[in-house]
Amino acid sequence: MQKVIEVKNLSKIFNNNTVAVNGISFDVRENEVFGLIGPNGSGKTTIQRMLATILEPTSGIIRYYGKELSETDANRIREVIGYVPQGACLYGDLTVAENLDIFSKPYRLENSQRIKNISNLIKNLGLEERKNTLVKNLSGGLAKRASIAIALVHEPKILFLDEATMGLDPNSRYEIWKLTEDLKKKTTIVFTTHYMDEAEKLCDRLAILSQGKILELDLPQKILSKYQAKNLNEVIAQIIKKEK
Amino acid sequence: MKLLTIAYYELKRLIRDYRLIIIIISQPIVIALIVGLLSYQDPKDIQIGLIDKNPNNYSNQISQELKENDKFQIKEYSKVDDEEIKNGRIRAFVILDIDDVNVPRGQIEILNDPAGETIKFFVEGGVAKAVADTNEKIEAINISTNDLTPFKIKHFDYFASAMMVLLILLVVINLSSISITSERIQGTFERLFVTPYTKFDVIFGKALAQFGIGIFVAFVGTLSLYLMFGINIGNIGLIILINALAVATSVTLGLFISSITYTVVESVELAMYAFFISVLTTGIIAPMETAYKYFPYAMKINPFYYAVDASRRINMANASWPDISTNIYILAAFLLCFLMLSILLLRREAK
Repeated sequence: MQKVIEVKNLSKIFNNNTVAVNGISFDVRENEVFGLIGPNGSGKTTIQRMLATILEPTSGIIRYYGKELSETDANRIREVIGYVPQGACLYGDLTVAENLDIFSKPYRLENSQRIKNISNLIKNLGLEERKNTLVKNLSGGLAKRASIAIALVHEPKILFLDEATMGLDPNSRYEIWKLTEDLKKKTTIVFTTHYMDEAEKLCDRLAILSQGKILELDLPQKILSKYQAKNLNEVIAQIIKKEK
Repeated sequence: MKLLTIAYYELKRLIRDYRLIIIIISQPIVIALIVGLLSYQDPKDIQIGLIDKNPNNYSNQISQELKENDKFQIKEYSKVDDEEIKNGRIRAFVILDIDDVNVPRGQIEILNDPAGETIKFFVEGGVAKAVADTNEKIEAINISTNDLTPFKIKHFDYFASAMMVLLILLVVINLSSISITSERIQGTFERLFVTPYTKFDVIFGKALAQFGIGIFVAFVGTLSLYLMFGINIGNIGLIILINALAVATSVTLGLFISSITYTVVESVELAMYAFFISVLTTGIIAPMETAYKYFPYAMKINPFYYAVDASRRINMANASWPDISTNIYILAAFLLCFLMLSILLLRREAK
């Protein structure tokens, strides 16, 4: 499979000298769900934010489709990526439809296609009845669905999901799992989560992170057998124990 | 005590932001310094145009006294040139009309710059002193004072002209200075920058929307002053242009503040800081002539000095385009400068 993203020796050191990401390398292949998991502060979100062009790396290289990412051509990449941040991060004083409108406008989409995409997403994500509701009046689950809709409005080739199911009820979580599996057919997904069951179920390959470094990178089953663990929770527990 | 716990942590949160502390602590020092430097001395070098209608021994003596008074810088004219008043180069014309007889008699007319309300008193005092020093028998010399304007102006007009601009600044800077910081906090900013929106799109888009609101504020403010107090407007087209430039400059200054601050509290504090410095250095409180000798240069770094000055000249002295065009060019330059700085200094990433 084609390498969609290649990361080489990527580091991020914040101004207060916190090393959030420490020289990591990995690649993400076309139409796979690539999971980044690990304890809090392991660098999952920082990696996603660097890949999504929000944060500039301190050092290292990110390549998209074989071409190095730089500030000058970051907009080329922004055309093909979608990003769902941890929080809803939407305009609370705009409706769901208005949020979709503002976030869909900068892409090179025909207006008719754009309107069609918005209406399909509203329908497919069960937002039809609430499309004219102010986002601040939505429940957490609905706001998250609206947030996912925004990330998908331009039919991105690569989707970053940062803790997409955090704080959601089991039903909403299940719906997002289903959506992720559907999207996988034509979208490459980089996924971070705290829920190990989710990672095991959804991810084709996993990177287990700790203190900004990748400790394991493989298929979930291979990682489980390497640690002789029943599930990923046990793997993480063993890693934390070893580090202490 | 529960309230002490709240107080303790409130204080801790505030002082943890060292940038905010710098803004807060420097405010009283800087503002006190500005006020002190503004009213540093008795006025010096007030630009006066002198016209001697009937030169003679007595009028020469009065002219000499005026020239020796360090409050004034005298330039002689053959007739009143109201363009010099409209563009602010001359603060008053003193017209001597003294008879050449044994006992001096006649009249002195002072034609003041209507936009120089705060220095009228010094001009009148200086002329009276020059007459008194020339001859003790001054009863026969009548001194009259008028504003050189085609309008009938009131004391309030002087403040109303400044208020037109400063009301715009107050409302608009508060609005625009938090527009980026508040978006950073709600996370929408980060999201915008994952899309192909550029920094230029974001700053220009915000500026356009806030400009629209600012224009409405300017219209309501000016109309209120006109309807409630019957202030003079002067050339309506020029007033609209000055107000539009004041709105645009306020918006871009606010966006610049929002680009360089990290929290809403920092943005608001810095916006108010900029507002007070702008108000003080427009000359509304003390004229430039009373400022410390180098301070007028600092006053001219304030874009709203030019907006207030132009507004006053249009409202009160019926100034036209050539009289205030320099102010307009300077305001436009500030506006572009703030806009460029906002775009250049806008950080994509949150700290």
